[in-house]
Amino acid sequence: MPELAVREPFAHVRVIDIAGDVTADSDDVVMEAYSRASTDGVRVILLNFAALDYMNSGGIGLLVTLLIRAQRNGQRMLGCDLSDHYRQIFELTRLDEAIAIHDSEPDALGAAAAL
Amino acid sequence: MDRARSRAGRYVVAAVVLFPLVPWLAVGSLDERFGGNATLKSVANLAALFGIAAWAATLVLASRIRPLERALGGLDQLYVVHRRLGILVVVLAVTHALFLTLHAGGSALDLYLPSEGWSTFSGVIALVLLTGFVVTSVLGRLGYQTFVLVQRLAGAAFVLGAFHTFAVRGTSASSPGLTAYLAFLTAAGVASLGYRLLGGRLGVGRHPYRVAEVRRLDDDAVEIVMAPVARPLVFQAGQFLYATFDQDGIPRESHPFTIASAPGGELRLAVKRLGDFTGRLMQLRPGARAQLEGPFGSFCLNDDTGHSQTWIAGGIGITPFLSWARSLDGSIAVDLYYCTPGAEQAHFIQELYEIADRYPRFRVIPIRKSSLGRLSVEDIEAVNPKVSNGHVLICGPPVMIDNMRTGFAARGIPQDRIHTECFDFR
Repeated sequence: MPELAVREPFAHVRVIDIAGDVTADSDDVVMEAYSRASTDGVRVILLNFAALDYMNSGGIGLLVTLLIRAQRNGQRMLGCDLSDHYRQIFELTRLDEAIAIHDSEPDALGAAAAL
Repeated sequence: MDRARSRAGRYVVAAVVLFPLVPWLAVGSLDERFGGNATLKSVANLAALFGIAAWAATLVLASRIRPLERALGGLDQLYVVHRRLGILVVVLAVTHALFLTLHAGGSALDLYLPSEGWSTFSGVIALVLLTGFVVTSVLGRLGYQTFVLVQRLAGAAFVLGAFHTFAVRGTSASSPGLTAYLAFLTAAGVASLGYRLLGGRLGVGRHPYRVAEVRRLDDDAVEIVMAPVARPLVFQAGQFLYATFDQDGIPRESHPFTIASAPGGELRLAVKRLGDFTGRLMQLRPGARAQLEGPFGSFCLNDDTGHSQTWIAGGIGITPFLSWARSLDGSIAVDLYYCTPGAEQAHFIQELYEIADRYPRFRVIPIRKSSLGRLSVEDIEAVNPKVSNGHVLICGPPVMIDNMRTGFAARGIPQDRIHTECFDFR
């Protein structure tokens, strides 16, 4: 998995563009992206899954550990642009109960601004 | 595993220990017994009565017979009660001696000399042996065989203590009911001791197996795969057994191991190097014969599909969860937190991921202390806000279990939905 892009749409909000395959082997890449994103008093981390190709149970576990890190840092975690397939996976794995999922990045950023 | 049952069992044990108070109160007035110097002797007598009852109870618990295991909610809980009772016996015996010494005043030293007669001196010997054995067992880092020897010698000291109880002219002599009760407890204690010395395994099956494969997980852990030679051992996921291996270089000792496989088929044990014996098992080879006894334990797969389950494994505490995971059918919503020092110690995690790929309601969450630190209840709540509506099942070191249990209890999760298995006693 290549380095993940981190963007700052506005203050205290960072977007991590999740791309390619997310598996247990993606640990270093995802955590490195989170470290880059989690600076300067960031309050919301938005995971944009538009470029996600594949995610398995190892990737689900990885997202959960990411969620734990965010919670410890007092941050909210949001998600957006999931395909129908992975939206269903998020529901089955109950990830949507802890990570609020939005249809698009503008929707998610609107929600982030309101937090 | 059954918290309510375990609590009820503990109350019964407490009642057994405290029952001598009833006949003791019936044979004399409190004014006579708790006035001036008589108070010292009364405290000494009560400590002796509770002490000998508790001592007998520890021996009965050590018999490990099935009804007791079930009554206390599992063998690990039985050993917790056994251990605490052992410490209590020492405290009561020392209290007994201390208050008798204070009561005797200037002639106190005579109580500790053989010249006082065997009825008294047997108590002195029993006190010294008991204290030494219990302190050694609790504080010492004994090898398994030494531990077993010390436990048996402590049992022998009980015979001296019981002799002392009946030989001295104490309160028991003034109450036939009390004498009968103590005689019954003593007989039960001695019978339990004899049962253990004769290798008691009442109601426990013995099953010959042969080691089919020894899979090295790393330098300090192996998975042992075994096939039955005759009748296979029937168990529930999460139970454990006692195994004895027949191979040069490995002591022929019976040690407990959690079964890591699902019921049916090959039987698997995951063994981590934690001491001398488990260290030797790293050299185990295919073809070795094994004698398995069991199954034991009640930390079994909870098939309550109506509530989510949170499984928390610390290190090699993964083994019962591994057996459970291998038995899943996808109907239960489970979060498995697998806590290890680093990624390299997370044995079987690939297999667990494969199971989770088949059953999306099963989530495997690796918690690596090296990068994430220790797991907290707040972490779990962040992942599953409804955790308090479900069951929490924990297997790992005692400190981890205590911390988690305290944290969940503080959030109002009923104790009967927090299930634990401590592998420390093994």
